[in-house]
Amino acid sequence: MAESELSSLDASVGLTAESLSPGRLAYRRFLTHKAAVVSVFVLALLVLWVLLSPWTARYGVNEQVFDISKGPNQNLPPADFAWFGTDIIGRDVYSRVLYGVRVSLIIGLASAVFSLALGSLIGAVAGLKGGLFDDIVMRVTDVFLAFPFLVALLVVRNMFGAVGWITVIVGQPSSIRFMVFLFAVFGWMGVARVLRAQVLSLKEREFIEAARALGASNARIIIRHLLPNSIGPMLVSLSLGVVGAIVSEATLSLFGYGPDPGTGATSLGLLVAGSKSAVRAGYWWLALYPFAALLVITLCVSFIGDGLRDAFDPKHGGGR
Amino acid sequence: MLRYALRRAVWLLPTLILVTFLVYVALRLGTDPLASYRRTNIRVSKKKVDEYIAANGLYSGAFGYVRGYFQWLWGFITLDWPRSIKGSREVWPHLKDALANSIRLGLVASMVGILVGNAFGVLAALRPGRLRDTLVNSGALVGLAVPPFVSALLLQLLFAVYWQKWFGYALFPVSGVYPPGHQGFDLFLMIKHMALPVVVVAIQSIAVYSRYMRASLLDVLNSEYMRTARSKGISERRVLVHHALRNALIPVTTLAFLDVGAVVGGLIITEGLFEYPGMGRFFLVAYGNGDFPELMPWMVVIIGSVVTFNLLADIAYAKLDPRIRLG
Amino acid sequence: MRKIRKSTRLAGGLLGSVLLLAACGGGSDSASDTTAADGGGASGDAAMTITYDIADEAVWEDGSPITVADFQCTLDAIMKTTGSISTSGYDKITSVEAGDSDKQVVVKFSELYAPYKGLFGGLIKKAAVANCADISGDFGTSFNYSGTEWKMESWSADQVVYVPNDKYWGPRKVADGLKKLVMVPRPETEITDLKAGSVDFIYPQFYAGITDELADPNVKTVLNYGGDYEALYMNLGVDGKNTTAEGEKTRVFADAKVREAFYKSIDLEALFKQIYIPIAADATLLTCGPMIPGQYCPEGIFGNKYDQKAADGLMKDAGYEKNAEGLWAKDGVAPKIEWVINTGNVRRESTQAYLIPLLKKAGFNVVAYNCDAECYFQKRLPGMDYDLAMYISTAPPDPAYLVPSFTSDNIPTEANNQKGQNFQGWANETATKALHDSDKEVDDAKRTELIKTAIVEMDKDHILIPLFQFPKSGAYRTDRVDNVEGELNNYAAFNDTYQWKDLDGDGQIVIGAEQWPGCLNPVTECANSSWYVWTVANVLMPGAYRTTNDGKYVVTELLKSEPKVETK
Repeated sequence: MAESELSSLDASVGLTAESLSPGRLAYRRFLTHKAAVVSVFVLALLVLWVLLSPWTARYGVNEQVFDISKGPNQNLPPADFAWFGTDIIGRDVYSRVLYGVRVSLIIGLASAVFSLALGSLIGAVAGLKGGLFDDIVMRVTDVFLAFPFLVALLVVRNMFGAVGWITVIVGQPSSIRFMVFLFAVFGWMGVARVLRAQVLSLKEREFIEAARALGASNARIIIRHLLPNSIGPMLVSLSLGVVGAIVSEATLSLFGYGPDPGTGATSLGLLVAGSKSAVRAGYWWLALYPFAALLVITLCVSFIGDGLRDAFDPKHGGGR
Repeated sequence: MLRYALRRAVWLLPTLILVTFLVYVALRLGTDPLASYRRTNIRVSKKKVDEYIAANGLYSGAFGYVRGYFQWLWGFITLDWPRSIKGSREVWPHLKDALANSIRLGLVASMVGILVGNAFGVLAALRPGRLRDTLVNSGALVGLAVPPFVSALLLQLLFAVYWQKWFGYALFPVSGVYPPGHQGFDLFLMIKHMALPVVVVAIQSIAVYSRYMRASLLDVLNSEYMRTARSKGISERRVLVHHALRNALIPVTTLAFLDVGAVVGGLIITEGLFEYPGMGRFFLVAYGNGDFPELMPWMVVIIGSVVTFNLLADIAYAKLDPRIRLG
Repeated sequence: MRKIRKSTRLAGGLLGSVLLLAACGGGSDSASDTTAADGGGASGDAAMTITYDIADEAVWEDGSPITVADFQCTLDAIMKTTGSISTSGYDKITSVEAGDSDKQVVVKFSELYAPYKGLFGGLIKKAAVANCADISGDFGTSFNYSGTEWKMESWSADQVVYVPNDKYWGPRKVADGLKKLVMVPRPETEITDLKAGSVDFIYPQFYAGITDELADPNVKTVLNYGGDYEALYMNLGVDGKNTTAEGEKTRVFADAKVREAFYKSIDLEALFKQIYIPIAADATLLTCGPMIPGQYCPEGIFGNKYDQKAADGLMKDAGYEKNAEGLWAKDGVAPKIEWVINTGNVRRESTQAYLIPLLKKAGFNVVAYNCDAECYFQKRLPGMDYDLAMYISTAPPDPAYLVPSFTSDNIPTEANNQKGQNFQGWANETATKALHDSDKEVDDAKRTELIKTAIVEMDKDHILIPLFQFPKSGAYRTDRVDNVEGELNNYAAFNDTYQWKDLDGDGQIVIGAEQWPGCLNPVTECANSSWYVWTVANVLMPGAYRTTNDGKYVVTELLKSEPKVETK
């Protein structure tokens, strides 16, 4: 059922007779988005590099390039023993960026996946049930989407941090688990709106009505029919969620509410936010490399998101 | 139309009450207003604490939250606002100044973002896939990926520090609303001080609007009725101006309404980076002190604005888009 | 935005304001509803009597004379106002009365009070407040009086503007051509602002790399070593325990041997090179305890005692064994040592990141237990919810600040109604007695010995690890302002603005402030920040004594002569 539904889009891209599955179709269209394809490769390479950190990193996350007794090790410019220079207590910036990328990717992916799951569920239920539940969910979502993000983040962070059983489950506010939890709590609303809209438009279609007529339950309709048909918008939301979470982490770090540097922790947000005065002091390497890594990741993910959107919703792609 | 607007407007009040209640609960749990009051007023008498509890509705227990909320609400509506916990000052005069500063900065930045961003979006959409489309699109993604504090830092270094070094004066000031010591109103100085923060904010909003406009316009240009219009031999220019742009602007208008609604919240990061005394800084200071009597009115102003502009956005959308079924 | 420079909070906070209100670091002595002014006995009974002779020409900004009524009002306001931050010293006053005229003030004390020079450092004008017994509602949007060379023209969240006070009678006349003194809040942009020329002077807290940030041909940075010092403090608990929000915690540092072993496990020389040398190349390790070098600093104590073998021996003596992870454990448990700092303070975070792995290697299960400045200085420290703490304090010239922080009766507990600031729970009889005696000892040499005795006990008990006398710094534009270096080492900071020279001829000098007082009340929590004292109280309030650049107290122009002190 689902297949016949999507393949009717063929006409708009001019693909011909050959019958392709919607997945393959989307894949083909994705390949025409050059920036997205390049991004996939760059990101894959980066992920591989990070996964291999036991070999690719040169020092431990909190390890000094050499002991202070052997001479000053602070804020050294790039050299052969430290490709990206050293930081304020003589740690290798290259290794810290590498570990930081790992932390940021974990935060980004995990938050996006959780908010996607939560958002899809709420959006789908709201769309299917309609009525008062739908109204309330959408009004609250509206407000939260327009509410100053940072304010909401700080207030909710403190609120959860003050509730004992939450910190028992997800850890202290400076832990990665807590941050993922926090971003998931904030991330679902955008997804929910998209999913709800998707559901509302699909709801009118024959195949859902047919399923209903056959006596399928709401849960079954959501799982078997709606979700597979919403895979495109969901993937796009996922990419937005990843970028959103990585940037949020950086913002929290800027205000001193990110991972705790006292524990030797690192993350891209922490490294970028911590380099503010380094730029004024002329220690450019402390700012440049983390920032470049942040830029590469967010750009790649955004391009991939763009490519996915074009692939699943060809109208936006223009003539690429 | 009117019926639709009314139906939506009916939601305004319940939404306001629901959201302010949620915020009230969140603030009470997150900042512990009673403890902050005691901390800021050590050796305070039992009587004063009780007065503080009553004025702000800070009763304990689940029922206490509900009762406290409505007590606070009544005080708020009757303009009987409790005084700040630090310095025991009236909240409104300070809040009013911050609000004025933020709205000024936010509106100008939004205007710049909307105008420039939409122009870029149109440019990109007219030649999809070509160089300028790619440039606008990638530029927008880069703009979105650059955190405001990076752009702020670079702008400050260039226009203030290095300009001072090279030419002996700073082209744009890096902080405040007016030069230190200045009193009274001066449009020119005000604009000069707003320049850098506006650019920092505009980088982000230009990126957002150009992407939005591009997508929206492409949507319209590729639609059936545009093809029909073209096939009827209407000139490309006419098609663009009379049909495509008008329709493409519909979702953009909605977004603009939402943006303006959020302006009163201030631009916390930007205001901080430029020492701009707006709503953002008001919030951070009050939040740091756990100043419940200052935080609640701040929240109400924000929520009120957000909810109202949400409503306006919906109504505008409905009015502009003939395809929307009303009822 | 980041809270780096809030680190003076404790320092500036608890102690800074004290200059204005009282000599010592006292804070939360309970209000003890004694209405001091009326409680006094007959004049013959007083343990100490001080007679202040107010200068005949001393007047407020409106020309009305400064009299004994203003002294009485000050005492009332400090003792009775809701939320008055410190009453210490004032709570020993039994009466303030007029002597021969209303220009003579006779103050009687219930007991000897050696640090009396810190009292009446900032007078409250009786005519400026509605009710001296509760001024918590006054000073809402302006500070409406002055008894100094400046008076406030306007104050807002943006800036405070001072203009010369033409009624001022003393020698500190504002320099010719200087028409305005402006202070603006610039916590984020002070350095950029200075380099861009929009402020003329800043007074930043130093950190590694700041000299590089300030490098500019038109900017001069002056480094001094004032009363600031940083140290690591251990929490001994009350009877070895503390009740915290998370339940009762046993304090591993209650055991003197563990403290000594911990001290000996840290190579202070290396730590110093790693963390402090980048801040100031000529810096040296502080060895005076909670005290800066000077007459009260005993010789040959503290310093680097790094000795891993001795430390291991001590731990074994204390009944600890290394467990499988190489951590010292007793009865199978390696106790956690919770080290608290304020997040956002780069230097302290770096210190943790550097030291924790080394301490783990030495066998101590140290974990970071950090939270923001508010939570650190307002909750964890006063709640004694930590094992190890690191912060800067600002020592006033008089060592009386040691008393509330290091005497056993000042450990805050339920029993003493949370009085005192001995947040380490250190109960040492010798030190407690010496410190209390020092408060009553008027002879300077004897007093010095008593203070030294107490500090030597701190070294023996290894309750703290002094690290660094922290530099005080001013940076200014050499093309805009001159003659600013005179008082930069003063406890009261840049308080000689009257003689600063305005070089660019715009008639105003602009100071960028690192923190901004949210309000103006001189006795409530508002005043609990050094930046409040520097930007408001010091500028406007006349007082009996002021501090000098070399850490002494001198009589101000408010008085005719040195007050007469009589003891029984």
